[in-house]
Amino acid sequence: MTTLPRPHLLLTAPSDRGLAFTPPSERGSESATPIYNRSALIAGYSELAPRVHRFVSDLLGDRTLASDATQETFVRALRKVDGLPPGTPIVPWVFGVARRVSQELQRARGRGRRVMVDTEPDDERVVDGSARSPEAALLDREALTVVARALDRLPEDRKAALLLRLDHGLAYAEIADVMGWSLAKTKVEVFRAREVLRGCFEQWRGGEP
Amino acid sequence: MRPFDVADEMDESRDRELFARRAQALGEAGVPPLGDILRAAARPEPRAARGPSDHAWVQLLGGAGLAAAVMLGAVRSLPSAAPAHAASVAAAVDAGAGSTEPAGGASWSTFDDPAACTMEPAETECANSCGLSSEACASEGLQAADPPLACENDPRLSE
Repeated sequence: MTTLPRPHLLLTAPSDRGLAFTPPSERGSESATPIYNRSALIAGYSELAPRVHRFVSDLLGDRTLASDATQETFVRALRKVDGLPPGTPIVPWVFGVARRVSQELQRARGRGRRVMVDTEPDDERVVDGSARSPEAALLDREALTVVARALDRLPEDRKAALLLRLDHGLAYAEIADVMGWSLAKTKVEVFRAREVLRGCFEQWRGGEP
Repeated sequence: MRPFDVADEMDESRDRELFARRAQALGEAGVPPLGDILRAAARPEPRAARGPSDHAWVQLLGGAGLAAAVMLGAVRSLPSAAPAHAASVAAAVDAGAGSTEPAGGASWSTFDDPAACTMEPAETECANSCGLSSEACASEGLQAADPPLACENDPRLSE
């Protein structure tokens, strides 16, 4: 497990930690007070953008719309990052922007401006399945199916909290800031969401369709 | 770190592995290139992106200003109460002298004092009421005809 701190932008990207996860409580360097600005955000784009894209894609359920949402998120972030108070944790802030953009797009879609809906199942979104071993492919399929089922069963806010916690590794306090909740409510919401996830996991392991 | 937090982190590790595998499987397809982001960020922010609140505020303030102007105009067009009342009584008396007969048949022409023309209606009634003595009217500072013209035909006087 390695977490590579980068100058100015201390992110913990999935590519850094592989399959393992660095608990937020162990990421002491991330809670330091680095100075974030436009150039640091640009330097960290390659790490942060795939995570933001996956986040908005999960919220919107539409890959094409997710690309638009990712672009809009970073455009807004670049315009406002220089005005952030020193010490503002940039990753939760960018996810907060992404969530607002997703909500706006969902409302616009609800008004009928955008009616295109992505019906492609998650397991067809796998990029390079041929290069993986059969065992790994099976595990991938398990992960894709279980998570997709769980996300389908969750209300929007609880889904966002689960994704921020388990997929993007935010601390409960950071999730509370993004969602505008109390810390206690955040923990309860994530706990309920994880119950649903475990239910789907047990169903998958039990061979239920 | 409290024991509960340690247990919670261990408990979450399986769930996180699930999401990490999924993230690896999904890859980075669909992520817009940085160049597109920078070009879009360099463009001036469109006015519509500021949200509908600006437009709503302008409408609200415009409406409030219009309402205030209408109210001001309405207040200015209203005549003030006291002078108008006196003027209307005087005008009614002047216009109706010799032609408008009050109740009881008395004529407004029986008034010698021009000040009576500006009397309040109650005082005018006093001066022209049948059966009201001259003393009673005088005590009120009014002038009454003797005998009152209005009372010439009053059945109560003939009794």
